[in-house]
Amino acid sequence: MNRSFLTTALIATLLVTVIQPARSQDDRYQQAMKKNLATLDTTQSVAGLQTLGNTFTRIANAEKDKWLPYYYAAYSQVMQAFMDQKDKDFMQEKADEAEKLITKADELSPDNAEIRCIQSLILSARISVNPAIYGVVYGPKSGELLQEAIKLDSDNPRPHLLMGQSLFYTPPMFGGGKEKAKPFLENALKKFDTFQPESSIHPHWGKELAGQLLKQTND
Amino acid sequence: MRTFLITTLLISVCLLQGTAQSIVKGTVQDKKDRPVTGANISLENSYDGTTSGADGTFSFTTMETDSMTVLITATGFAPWRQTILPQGDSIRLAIILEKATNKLETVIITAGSFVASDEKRGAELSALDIVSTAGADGDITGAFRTLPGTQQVGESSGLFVRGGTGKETQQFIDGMIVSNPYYSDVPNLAQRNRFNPFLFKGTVFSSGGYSALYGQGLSGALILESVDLPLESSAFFGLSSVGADAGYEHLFNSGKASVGGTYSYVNLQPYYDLVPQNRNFETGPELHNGDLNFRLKTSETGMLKFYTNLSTSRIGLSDPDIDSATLMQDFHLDNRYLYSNLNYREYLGDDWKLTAGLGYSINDNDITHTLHNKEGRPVTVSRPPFNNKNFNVGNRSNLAQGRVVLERFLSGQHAFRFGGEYLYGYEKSRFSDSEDAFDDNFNEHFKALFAEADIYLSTRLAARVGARFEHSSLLGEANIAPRASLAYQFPDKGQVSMAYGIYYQKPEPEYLFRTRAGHDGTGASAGNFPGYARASHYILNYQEISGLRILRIEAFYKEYNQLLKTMPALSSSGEGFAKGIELFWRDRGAIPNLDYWLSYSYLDTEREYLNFPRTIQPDFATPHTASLVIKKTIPAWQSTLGATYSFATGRPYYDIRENADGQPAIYDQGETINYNSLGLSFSHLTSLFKNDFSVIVLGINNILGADQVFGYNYSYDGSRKTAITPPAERFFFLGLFMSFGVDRTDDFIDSTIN
Repeated sequence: MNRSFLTTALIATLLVTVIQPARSQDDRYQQAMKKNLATLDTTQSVAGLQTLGNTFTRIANAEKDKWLPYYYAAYSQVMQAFMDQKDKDFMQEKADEAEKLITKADELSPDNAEIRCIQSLILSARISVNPAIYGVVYGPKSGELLQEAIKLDSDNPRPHLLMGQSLFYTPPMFGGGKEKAKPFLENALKKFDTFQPESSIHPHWGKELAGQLLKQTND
Repeated sequence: MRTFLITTLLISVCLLQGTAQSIVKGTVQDKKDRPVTGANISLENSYDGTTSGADGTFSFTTMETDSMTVLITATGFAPWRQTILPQGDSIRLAIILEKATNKLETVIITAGSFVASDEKRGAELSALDIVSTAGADGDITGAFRTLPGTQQVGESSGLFVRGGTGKETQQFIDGMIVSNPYYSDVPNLAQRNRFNPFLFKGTVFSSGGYSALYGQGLSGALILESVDLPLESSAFFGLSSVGADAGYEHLFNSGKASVGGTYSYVNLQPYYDLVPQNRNFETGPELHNGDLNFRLKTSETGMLKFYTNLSTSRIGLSDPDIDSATLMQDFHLDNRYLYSNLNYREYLGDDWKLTAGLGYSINDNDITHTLHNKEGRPVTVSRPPFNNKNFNVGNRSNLAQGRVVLERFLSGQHAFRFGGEYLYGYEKSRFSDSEDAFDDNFNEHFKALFAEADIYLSTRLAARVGARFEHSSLLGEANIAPRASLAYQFPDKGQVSMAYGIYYQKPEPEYLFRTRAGHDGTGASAGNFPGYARASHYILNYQEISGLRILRIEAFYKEYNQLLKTMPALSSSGEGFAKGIELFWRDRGAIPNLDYWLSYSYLDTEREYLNFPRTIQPDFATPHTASLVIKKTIPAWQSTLGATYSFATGRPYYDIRENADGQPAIYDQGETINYNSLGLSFSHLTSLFKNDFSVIVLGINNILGADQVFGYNYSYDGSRKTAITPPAERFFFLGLFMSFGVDRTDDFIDSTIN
């Protein structure tokens, strides 16, 4: 071993140790996101979603400048509202919680089609609290958000899916119905085949749901 | 040596990174020791943390060794923070969370008013609520008559609130006073509100203690806020047993402006031919009504709105003359009405909001009273009381007004509002009979300045303090009316509010004309107008809102001073009081698709007023009033069934006449029978053509045909009395309303899919 090698090794070691925190922080973020997203894909319970929502919120608050953890935190909250539709207060609370989180995501990443989808979903949750009262109040805005999402990213399948889902559950009398939902769901499925998420931690949910709903339109 | 050096260096680098692992564990509970599930426990600025379990316990590990803040958040609770220093050991935390007071749950001042514009929690009485209330016949006032504080008065127009008359409840649209909000008075027949409920996005009904922003309503205020831009272009058409209407509203492509107009025609004659009435309607009621609106979004936060309404109506009635066995007393009314309102609002920077409005209205009545015999020929009898039964009256009111309000938002939810209004009124009155004639008019310049502050003493305690200054050139008199309210929100649920205020109101123009020389019979000289009537309100309110349920209990005391007296001479020397307690309960969530509310009012009131010889319970007030309103939606039938039951104890009635000394005296009195009314409505949603959304409505008022008596008319000498009743036992309504929304969904499918 000569001196110069030693020096190089030492400097390299030092460099590695100094740089490491920065690199490992991003690694840690990616890993934490991947791990929790894998759990999210299989979580079907209110308690499970609450745990995940909390985890994403912690990541979001620690990272501060990333919209994705806020996005998933909001998603985990609003989906709980749809799971327990008996407790109206709970549904409102979850919608309020999700709205706070998605607003932060929206501030970090304006004009984002994925965020518009969650905003629309939150309004759908509010409508579900009492469709007779809130349908008129939030219905149009919920639809507008999806139209905006399509304008922002025409290749994204999720606004089409949500549009289809919303029409699917709206009575024909109010301009909805399975027939009207069908082309949106078909379109969403087509787009799911070609749509490439920006990274492995970007949103990829919804394909299965689109398939299920489309199947039911044929019943 | 060198190897040793490197090794040491590497080890120390490793050590620097730290490897100590700490455990943080504990429990999260609320103040009543109940576990809080799903709370987010985090170390701020790190990923470390966990979620509390069903028993409120939690445990997580962290590699951090610096001083860190534990942050605990849970829905419905205030955030909790504590600094810890993890040093490879175990840290135990026992946390008790306090209930949150976020903006939505923050105390709001509610004493005396029914706020109905909270978007998040749903309106208390939205336009849809109003039209789906059985028995209300789509009338704003009819629906509010099912709320506590109001009387079931069927013989005169308006909301009779807590011992006040219908004229003592003032109506406001976008902050501006509406003169003549009801179709012109017809003897012994309450008239509808002129305004369609769908013109308004928010309705606040205040039965007292309302803000300094409003004045000239001695007993109550109906505060209406007009709708903004429509969501889409649409056309509608309606056909019913009483008339037809049609309208179109166009939303420009920019989505920033809209124009619209409607026309409606109402004529009850065909209905009266089919369903016999106990009064002879010789003309109409017939009504033409047209309105136009224009709305423009002037910026992201600015909105300019214009609404105008023009209507003409006529009605002719012929009732048996009470003072004779054979004669008939005819009443004929022609009315022309114009209302217009231009309103602008904008936020100036982040902290200021400007609201400005201009309004103009005209109300023009031509009224004839004639006596005729059985053959239909006019009769003139020159002895009393018949000599006063043939006459013509014409009255015209013009009102122009301007109003500006500035609102300053301060940190911590404090707000300060101030502004002013100027009203120019022109009143003209014409009277002629065989003996007498006069034609008179007067001008009025009315100015008001007001200021009000919302002060949050804490998130649980809020105060609103304000005052209003008014000056009337006609009365030559100014007044200052202080208003104050205080609200406290309990940590668990519910809030208690108190309100106090002084309210002034000018006498109605008809009395002001009487003071003019020679027309009051008392010799009061011109310009000697009576002054403002004055009421002091004291209100205590408890309210609990949870989800879709609301409970309100309100107690009040009111003192009336300077009430108008017409006998023995015109003066402002009347007085009175009103006290009572009211209950309101509404639940929209307990049973799926069922919405119901229950209201009860207890009222104890007496006043010396108009021709009352002393302080007595007025003939428009009864101690007990209750309403139950039920609406059940049946999704499978796409239908809604509604029922409204109202009950009121009997009201007093009096025969008051001038005695030999020229003093008013009660010659006879009694109490009417209890009031009962059950109204039913059925509405069915359907689609008759491709793109339409149609509603078929069937309504029946007083389906049980219960006898209803609103009071008694006495003959000139008091020897005879006749009951004042509704014109028919029951009222039936059948209508079809079609809305042709310019449905964008199809366009959207075309543009995004094909």
